[in-house]
Amino acid sequence: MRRRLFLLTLFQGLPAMTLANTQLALHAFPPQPGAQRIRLLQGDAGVVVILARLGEKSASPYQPSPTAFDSIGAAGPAKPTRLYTIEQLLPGSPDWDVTLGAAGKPVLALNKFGGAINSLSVHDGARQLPLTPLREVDDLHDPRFVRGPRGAGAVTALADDRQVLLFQRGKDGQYGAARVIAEGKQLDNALLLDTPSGWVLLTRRAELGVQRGRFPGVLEARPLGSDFKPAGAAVPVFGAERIFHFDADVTEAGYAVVAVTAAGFALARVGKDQPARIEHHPHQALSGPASMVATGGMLYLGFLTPDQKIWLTKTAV
Amino acid sequence: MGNKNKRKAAQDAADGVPDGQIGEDEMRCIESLIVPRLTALGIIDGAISGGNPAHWTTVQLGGATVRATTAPPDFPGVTWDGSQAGVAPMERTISRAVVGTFNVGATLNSPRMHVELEVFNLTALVSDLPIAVAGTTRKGYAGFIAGNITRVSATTEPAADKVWNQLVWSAGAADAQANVRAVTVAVPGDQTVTVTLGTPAIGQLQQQVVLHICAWPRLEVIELTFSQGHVINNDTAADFDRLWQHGRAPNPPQCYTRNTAMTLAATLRVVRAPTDPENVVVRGTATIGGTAMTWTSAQIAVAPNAATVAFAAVAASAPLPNQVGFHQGAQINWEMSDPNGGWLSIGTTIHNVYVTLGNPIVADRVYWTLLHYSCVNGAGSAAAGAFTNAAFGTYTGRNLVRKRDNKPMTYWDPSSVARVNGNTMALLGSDSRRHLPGDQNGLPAPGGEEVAVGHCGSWAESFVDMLKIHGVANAFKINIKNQFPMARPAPPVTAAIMADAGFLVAAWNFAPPVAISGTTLTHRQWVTCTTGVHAPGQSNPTPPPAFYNHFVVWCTGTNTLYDPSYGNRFAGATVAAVLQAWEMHSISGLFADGAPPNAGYATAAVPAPARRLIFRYTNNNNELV
Repeated sequence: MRRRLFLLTLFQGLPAMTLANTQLALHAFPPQPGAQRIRLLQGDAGVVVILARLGEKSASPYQPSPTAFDSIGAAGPAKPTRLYTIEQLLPGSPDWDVTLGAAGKPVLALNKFGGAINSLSVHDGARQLPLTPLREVDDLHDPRFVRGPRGAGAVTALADDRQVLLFQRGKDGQYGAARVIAEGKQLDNALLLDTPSGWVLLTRRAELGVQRGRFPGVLEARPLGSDFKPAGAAVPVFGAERIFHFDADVTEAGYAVVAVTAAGFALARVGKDQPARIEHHPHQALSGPASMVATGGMLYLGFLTPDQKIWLTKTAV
Repeated sequence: MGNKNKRKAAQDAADGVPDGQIGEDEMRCIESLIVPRLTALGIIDGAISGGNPAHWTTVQLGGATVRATTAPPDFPGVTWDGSQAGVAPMERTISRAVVGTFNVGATLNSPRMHVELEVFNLTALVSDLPIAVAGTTRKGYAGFIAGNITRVSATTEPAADKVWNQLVWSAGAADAQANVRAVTVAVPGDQTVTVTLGTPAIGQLQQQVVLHICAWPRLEVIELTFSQGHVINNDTAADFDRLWQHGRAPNPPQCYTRNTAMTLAATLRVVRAPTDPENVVVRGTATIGGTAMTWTSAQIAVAPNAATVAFAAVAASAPLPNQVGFHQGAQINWEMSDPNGGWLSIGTTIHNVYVTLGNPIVADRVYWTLLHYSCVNGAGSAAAGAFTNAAFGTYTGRNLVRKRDNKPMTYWDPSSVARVNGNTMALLGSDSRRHLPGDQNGLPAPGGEEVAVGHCGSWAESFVDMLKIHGVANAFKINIKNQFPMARPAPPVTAAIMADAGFLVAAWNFAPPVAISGTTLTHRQWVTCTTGVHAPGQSNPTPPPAFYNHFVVWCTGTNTLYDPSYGNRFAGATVAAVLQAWEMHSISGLFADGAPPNAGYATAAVPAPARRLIFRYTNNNNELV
């Protein structure tokens, strides 16, 4: 999948900061105050980092709280470009994801904090498209744009911690009724991939244990049929290893997953009918991983650290 | 005159005997020549005399020989009594085969001469040590023998001082009777005590006893394994094990349902090894909530080389009190049997024991914090209704701390609510920092106090889960949403309805004062309608003043609405009255997204049942009416 972005930024000349004890050279951006999460996108001319940033002051802590979305060229510390500023009634760090819209403009899927029940909507700069839950009391969170050629702006989200819902766009551009594509207990993440061998739903279930931003959990890959129903047994991507955060993208052979682990991060390359090739890279205090397969087949990985630095690296798919 | 006559004359002169007359000596000599007689009678072997030549003693061993002396010497014709023929003509044999006093007499033309021979016997030697082992060995335990002294008693025939005084002992000190010795047995080891009667010359009788002094084992409880109760989860980090371990600090709490018996097994370290294999019994006793209970082991074999021994799982002799409770610092006093049939204290273990109303409904979610507060606040409860209300006392102080790390648990600290904290697990597992004064940017403050944060959904669920820990399943999470505009939304539910309108919490200032209107919004939020006094929430005096929705808990058992986020409880004659009470107390108006006027509505002006809020079960979406 090739994602386009109107920001043309070349990925070159990364700052020469390298983390020790890792096989991949990680390059740091300067601290980005308020950065809460990053995603990677590729525009016509390069890779950019999209980040959500809290910290814009409001008149009082209790007045609507803005969340800013910026893009930064992966090439280095260029001035961020503001994409969106979206107000929330309640302060906090919303769940969000980004993809490229039809016009090459970033499109956001975003939580709207409501108190305990949060809603979701998609912002494309012109419209705010609501994602309607199946039940009024369902709390929607963890919105993720479906990755792969047939993604087409479809969004998955978790309803409470029980269901993975798929929201697909109709011809009118609106999102239709949600479809339940997975159910379980303590579901904490989900990401749907359109891989060369078919739909694969990655899910992570929260397990009791010490958190690193999220509870630990095993990441499972569930093959889905064209009707989004289970088409095979779920396979643990990293075996029994518990991970905390992950991101994934589709490759020519299958898909690649980056996950934050207790010891650092792990990278899994999964091909059709082949066992996953897994690498472990020790490094503490990473969070918020992002991954993207860029033009030319390079796999870009990004991380956020508690000091709000963004770290990037790239490797062969 | 010959020499003989000269000596005679000289003797007569010395004796004053006139010359030519016969002196007394001469007369006796003459008489002896004429009448043989017995001159002496004595025992020449096999007996000893205490100085009296007519009284002899001996031991019951072989025989003794009596010899008669006659004048003229060896004159035949001695008449004997009380004896048997001896080896020599003038000797007789006395048997020593029988205990007794034997009189041996002899006569020869004179009054009977006699000697008396007493025969003694030494028949036994015994110790008062309590345990008979093979042969004469007796066993006792160092440290468990009164005064560290055992008394060894010799049995003689006759049992009399005259015999006992002849006993020769190899050990011990004199005691009240001469046939008893006091032997010190303070340390483990074998001692042989010998008593001897007789002499090498006459023969010796000997008895001995082996004093087998052993070390009694001493045990120490090093690990207890509790069972039959409930696993407590350490506030999402991990399950507590069911162990108490020596030297571990702190040891985890334990949890049982009321009126059930605590079951435990123990591992004990052998602090002092026994010298012989021994069997002991171990017991623990405790009084928990006024109920005395005991755990008693079966016989536990302790080998001399054992490092540890096991006490198999056993239930307490009595169940826990039949009511909810938290028994902090409950002591189990451990004892082991001693060799004298008593009990030897081997230490105390201390435990924190939670007692629930019923069995947890979700067994793997007995979170420590919820368990602790509910057991403390619900202590003494024995019925679900009373317990539910008492347990809610957990929230009314709005000052909970997470037991795992004593961090405050806050309701909607503005800086800290990230993502979804919509369940108990997320609330108890969260780690954030408290908002700093003046920090308005909504970011966790690096210098802020570490807190656990949750929103109303997680706080409400925490109370539901708290009750489930106690087996109470009649509490339900309720979502509150306004129904502005006035008409209730018709299906299908839209996202817009979900999030475009909400309510103003606690006191807002309306300028001018809000009109009594249940139909229209009249003010501009943040401009003519501004925040006033916040409703204090859990560990947060100023939670956000406006929400699109809110979660509370409805309990069908008590017909009460509980609002854990704010620590408030609402009861009433009817459900509608309860909901109205919440509304009247908790909000001061409504708001909607969009252009002003976007705030208003005086709740106080709208009498029941014309509520503007919908209370809906989250499990089935049904409305609570």
